[in-house]
Amino acid sequence: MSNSLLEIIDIYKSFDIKEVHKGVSFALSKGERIGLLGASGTGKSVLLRSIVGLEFIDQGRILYNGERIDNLSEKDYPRIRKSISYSFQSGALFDSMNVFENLAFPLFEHTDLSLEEIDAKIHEVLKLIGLEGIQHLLPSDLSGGMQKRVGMARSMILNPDIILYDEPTAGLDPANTVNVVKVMKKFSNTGVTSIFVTHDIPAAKEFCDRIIILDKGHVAFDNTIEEFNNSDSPIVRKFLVTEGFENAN
Amino acid sequence: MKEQRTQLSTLIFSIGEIYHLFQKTILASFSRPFYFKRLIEQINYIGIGSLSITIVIGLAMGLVMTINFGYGLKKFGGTLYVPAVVSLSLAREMAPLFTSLLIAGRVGSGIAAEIGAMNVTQQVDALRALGTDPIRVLVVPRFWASVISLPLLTALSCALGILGGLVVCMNEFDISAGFYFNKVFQTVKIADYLSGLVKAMIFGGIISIMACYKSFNTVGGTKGVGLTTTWVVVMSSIMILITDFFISKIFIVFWTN
Repeated sequence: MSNSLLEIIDIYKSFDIKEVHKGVSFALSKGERIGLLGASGTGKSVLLRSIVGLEFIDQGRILYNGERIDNLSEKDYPRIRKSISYSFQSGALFDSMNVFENLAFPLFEHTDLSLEEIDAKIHEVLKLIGLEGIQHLLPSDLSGGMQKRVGMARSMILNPDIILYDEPTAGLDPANTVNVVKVMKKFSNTGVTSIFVTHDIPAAKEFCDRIIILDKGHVAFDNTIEEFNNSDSPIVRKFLVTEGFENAN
Repeated sequence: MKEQRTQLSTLIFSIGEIYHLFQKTILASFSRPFYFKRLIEQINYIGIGSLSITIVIGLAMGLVMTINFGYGLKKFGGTLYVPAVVSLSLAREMAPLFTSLLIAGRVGSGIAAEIGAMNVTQQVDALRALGTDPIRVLVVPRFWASVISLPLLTALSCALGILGGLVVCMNEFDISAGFYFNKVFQTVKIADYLSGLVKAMIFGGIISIMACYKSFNTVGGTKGVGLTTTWVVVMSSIMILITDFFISKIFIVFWTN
């Protein structure tokens, strides 16, 4: 029996004729902060969606705590989705509900907490993300950065084991990016394992302790952040050039 | 030829998917968790929210039908048959059909726009990712709210139509209120009213299930939401008209006779 919290084993996924994953494998242990990098279209978000069953893989296995979860029925997924949480790129807040209702939604769904306990929990989470006093606001009243932070708060409110962040810093100004990474660090310090999909190399360097690069449907690089920083690997150099962080020469 | 085959297979696939959604909705309706608050909200939106349009269509139907039948039958000395003809048409056919077509426009487009927009902004995915079944939260309340509200709206529309007919009969054809109601109650039996209400229930189910099915498959941003809304209004109206013929036939053969 492996000690890994989550194992991705040789997965394949294609959309019509486009093969996105051609044998992707890696594992993560409790408390790790993994940066999942790669050029656009390499299947980073698809991989996250596959982990929580929003996409179905064609071949391979995904194990959570040793239990196979890629072939669960829609009826069995809610149990897993309480432990593996997905933070959407846009925040995906329910726009007809205010911030309190958005954050309370998973608590009403999956816990027996009283309204007072839910109120206290939401107050605590909003304090953690630095957005106290916005309970009554609708998502449309919030800035993009605030929406993302509330979305992240909603994904961690059930105290999951793993949070999957899908480009949470995309489209944000530097100040908001710093705030988002700060929130992710706070969540991570509570012992949550994280997979951070991003094109933002400085944010990945700031947050992650391990980097995985997807390229041409495979894991092209999988090593610690120190190795990534000092790597002469052609894959890493090519990726950094593609993302505009290094010159081609 | 190949394109026609693809269109046919897409149509068959869609019918299968709509049936599958209906089946899942029924199954989800009878197991926990229940969302009563959402059901009440939807009844408020679909039922109470459609009252004004129902009052207008009910009265308009009664007034227009009576004036046309009245002057048409007057040529043959058949004015006295107007209350019977108008009330029977309203109870069996016109009230459920016209009310449902209007609700398909108002409610079908509302459901399509709301859930379609939720789908393209990943809110439906967010529901699933939070461990919640979107069918329970979004489809079941809308389905039952439509199934409950449509017959009630139809009953109101039918009653107002009959009242509208009374107004025209009294003012245009010198028919007294007593004679009018006597003819109405003599002609229209409970089975006729019930057939109209059952039709309305089925039409309510058709509108909500088709709207939810298409909304869950909305792609392509705001343009996609617009296309979904149009599809829902057009297709649910067509489905109501087609279904109406078969239900009418079934009722005539097995029930009202």
